[in-house]
Amino acid sequence: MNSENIYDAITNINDDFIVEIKDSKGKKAHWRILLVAAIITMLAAGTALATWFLRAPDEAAMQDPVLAAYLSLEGTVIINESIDDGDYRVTLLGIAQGDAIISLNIPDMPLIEPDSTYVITAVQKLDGSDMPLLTDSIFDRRFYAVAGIRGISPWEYLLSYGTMTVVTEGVYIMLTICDDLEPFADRGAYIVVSHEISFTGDAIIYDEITGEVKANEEYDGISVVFALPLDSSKADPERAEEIMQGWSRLPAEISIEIDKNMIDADGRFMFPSVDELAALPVDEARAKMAAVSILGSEWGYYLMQSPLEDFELMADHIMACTVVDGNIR
Amino acid sequence: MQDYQIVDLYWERDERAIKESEANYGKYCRSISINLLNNQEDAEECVNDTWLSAWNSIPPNRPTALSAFFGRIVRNLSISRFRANRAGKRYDGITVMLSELDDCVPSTVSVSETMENGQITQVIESWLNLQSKDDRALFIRRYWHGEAVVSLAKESNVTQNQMAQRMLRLRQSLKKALEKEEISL
Repeated sequence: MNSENIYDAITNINDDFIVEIKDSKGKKAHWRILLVAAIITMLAAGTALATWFLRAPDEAAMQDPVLAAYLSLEGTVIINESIDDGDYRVTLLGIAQGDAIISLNIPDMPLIEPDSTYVITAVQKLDGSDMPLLTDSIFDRRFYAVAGIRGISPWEYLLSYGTMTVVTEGVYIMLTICDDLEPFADRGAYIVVSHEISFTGDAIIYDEITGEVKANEEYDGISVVFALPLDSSKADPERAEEIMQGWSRLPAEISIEIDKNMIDADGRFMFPSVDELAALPVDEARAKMAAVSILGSEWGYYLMQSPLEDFELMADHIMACTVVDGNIR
Repeated sequence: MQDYQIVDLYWERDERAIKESEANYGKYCRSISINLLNNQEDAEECVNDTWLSAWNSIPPNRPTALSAFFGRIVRNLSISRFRANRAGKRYDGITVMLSELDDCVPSTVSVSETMENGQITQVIESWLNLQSKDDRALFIRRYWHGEAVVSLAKESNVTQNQMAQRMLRLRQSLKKALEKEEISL
C-alpha cells in the first residue's frame, strides 16, 4: 500500500461524504433557507398586485380606482429604480406591507402574511421583447429575489422566505415575502435578484469587514443588488432583535403531506408543473407548493431523488419531520 | 437545473447535458483539478474530459449526486495526468498531498500489501464516520477536493501551522485505523 492507493481509495468514498461537504461549504445551514419557496406562481391576485406596481408610474393607471386605493395603503412605497445587467433590466418596483394588502380584500388573494413586507421586483428584456411565460420550455433559467440585512452575513440569515412569481405584460415579476423590514431600518436591508434561490457566493460578494454585499461581476448570469429604502424613524432594534431570535428557533413541528400521486414509479418526488398548479383550487395549489418549498430546498433536491424509505434517514436534517405512511410529518 | 434533469439529458443523448454540466459543475470540477495539478491548462483539459467521460458512462449509470460523480471523474483524470507526466511536469498540489498521505500508510508493510483498494475505502469510510463533523469536513476538503492547508486555516481562523498539526493528527488517526484493520485481516 502506498499514498496513491490511499488517494484512489479516498476518491471512491461514498457520495454522502462529498455531498455533505459541498452542501455545507461556504454557508451555514439555516432553517429559513429550507423554507424558501421554489416558486409560487400564477395566483390571480398576485398577478393583479404585480400589475398595479408595474403600471404605477403611468398617469393613466393612477386613475384606476383600485390602483389608487392600493397606492394609498400605509407603508406602500413606489421606488422604480432600475439596473441593467447583460440583456436584462432589473427594477426594484416597490415595497408593500402585508397587513395593508390584506385590508384590500382581494378575491382569491394569495396567502399574505400580515406582519410581512412584500418587495416587488421585475425583470424585462432590454431589447423590448417579452419575457417568456413560466410555462415555456425555453425558460430554463429562472430568476429569484432574496433579501438580507446589511452588516449580517447573508449565509446565516435570510430576511425573505418565499417568492411569488408571475409573468405579466411581458415582464417577469417577483413578490418577495420578507419579515417586517421596518424594525431593521437603522441597519439597512437589501435585495438580490439573480438565478439563485438563496444567497450563494456565486452571485454575490459579501465583505465581512464593511458588511456590504455587492453583485459578483464574475457570476455567470444576472446578479443585481438593490438597497431597500427604509424609513429610519421606524427602526426598532428591540423588535429587530426579537425577529432575529425567532430565526434561530426551530419550529417545534412541521407537517407536510405528500400526495402519493406525486411520487413516481422509482419513488422520486415529482415537481408539479405550472399548468397542474394553475388548474388546482388555490388551497390545494398552496398545500402542494408547501411541500415543494421543503422538497425544493437544498435538502429537498436530494430527497427528490431518493426513494421514499430514504426520507427517514434524512428526516433529522429537516427539522422535526418524520415519515408516516409516506408522508413527511 | 437539478441533477436528475441533467442526468435525464444524458440519457436522452441531448448535448445540452454537457452545457448544463459545465454551467452547474464546471467551476466545482475546475477547482478540484486546479488544486491537484496547479496547472490551469491541464486542469481545463481534465474538466473537458470529465464531460466526455460522463457522456460515455451515462447511460448506463444514473448518478444521484452529480457533485460526487463529476468530482470523482475529475480526480481520477487529474491523477492519471500526474502519473503520465510526473517525470516531465511539476504538479505541486498532488505531489504535496501524496506526500502527506504517506503518513497514513501502515508501517506493517508485509501485511499492508494484501489490502485491496475497496477495503481501504471501507476502512476510510468507517473512520470518517467516527470523526467529528468538522474533522470529517477538513479531511475531505483537503484530501478529496485538494484544498490547500493555508486556505483551510484562513477559513477556520487558525494559523497555517495549527491547521497542519490538526491535519497531521487526522492522518495519524487514519493510519491507526488502517493498521488495526490489517491486523484483523
